[in-house]
Amino acid sequence: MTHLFMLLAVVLAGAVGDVCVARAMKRVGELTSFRLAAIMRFGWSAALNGYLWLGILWKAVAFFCLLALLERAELSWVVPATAVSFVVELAAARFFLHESVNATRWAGALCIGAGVAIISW
Amino acid sequence: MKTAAVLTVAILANSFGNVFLTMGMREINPASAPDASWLRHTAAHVVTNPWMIAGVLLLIVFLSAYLAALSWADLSFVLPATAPAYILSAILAHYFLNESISPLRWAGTSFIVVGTCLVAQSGRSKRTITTEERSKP
Repeated sequence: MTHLFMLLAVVLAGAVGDVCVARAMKRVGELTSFRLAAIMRFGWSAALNGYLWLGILWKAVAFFCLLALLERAELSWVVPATAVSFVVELAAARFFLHESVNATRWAGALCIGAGVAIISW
Repeated sequence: MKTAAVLTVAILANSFGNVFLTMGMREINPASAPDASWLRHTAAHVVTNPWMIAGVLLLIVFLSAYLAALSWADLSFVLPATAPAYILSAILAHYFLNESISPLRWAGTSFIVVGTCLVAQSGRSKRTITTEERSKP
């Protein structure tokens, strides 16, 4: 049970981190030139974005939760179980971002959910 | 060819990276409650233990290879193509961490691999890319 809560912490912190980083990168804009000066400018404007640091913070939280989980659960459970993040992201896309999700993707989410339930038995 | 090479690197780096991190974490004292002192201890462990350093470096290699592949191939191709990492992780966990994988766990893992492939399918209808296009830079 503790393992499931820790798994949820890994997945949720990771998802929040993804959203923050994505938001930051949208604000910064596309990297159009691969010259050193352009890359430095890009890095500088990304570093000035608060959402990037928030995203990195959440990613760090997810990483340390993962380490705590690896310390006490089996790797052959932890790795496939983290796939539950696809289900969380699909639900978030549907209910928070109001994206349309087709039947194939729901079937995939159902399949992943069943798989995680089976390995956690 | 380029895509196959990069995705192979991604799968290997991800799977071995996780094994190394597990080995590193099991070298610390028996699992204690993840409180503030655990966090300090673990943070120091991440930058000093060879397994942890190797694990983190491999995860950086994985992320770079994954992002590189995404820069020219669709997620609907990259995601299922990296799904074999779930199977490889189970095999490595068996050989390097002495975990016994029950038939039930294999079944669940297979479900997850299939599910990952299905979840990725939606993007395909919007933009179809042929196999030749995909394999060329």
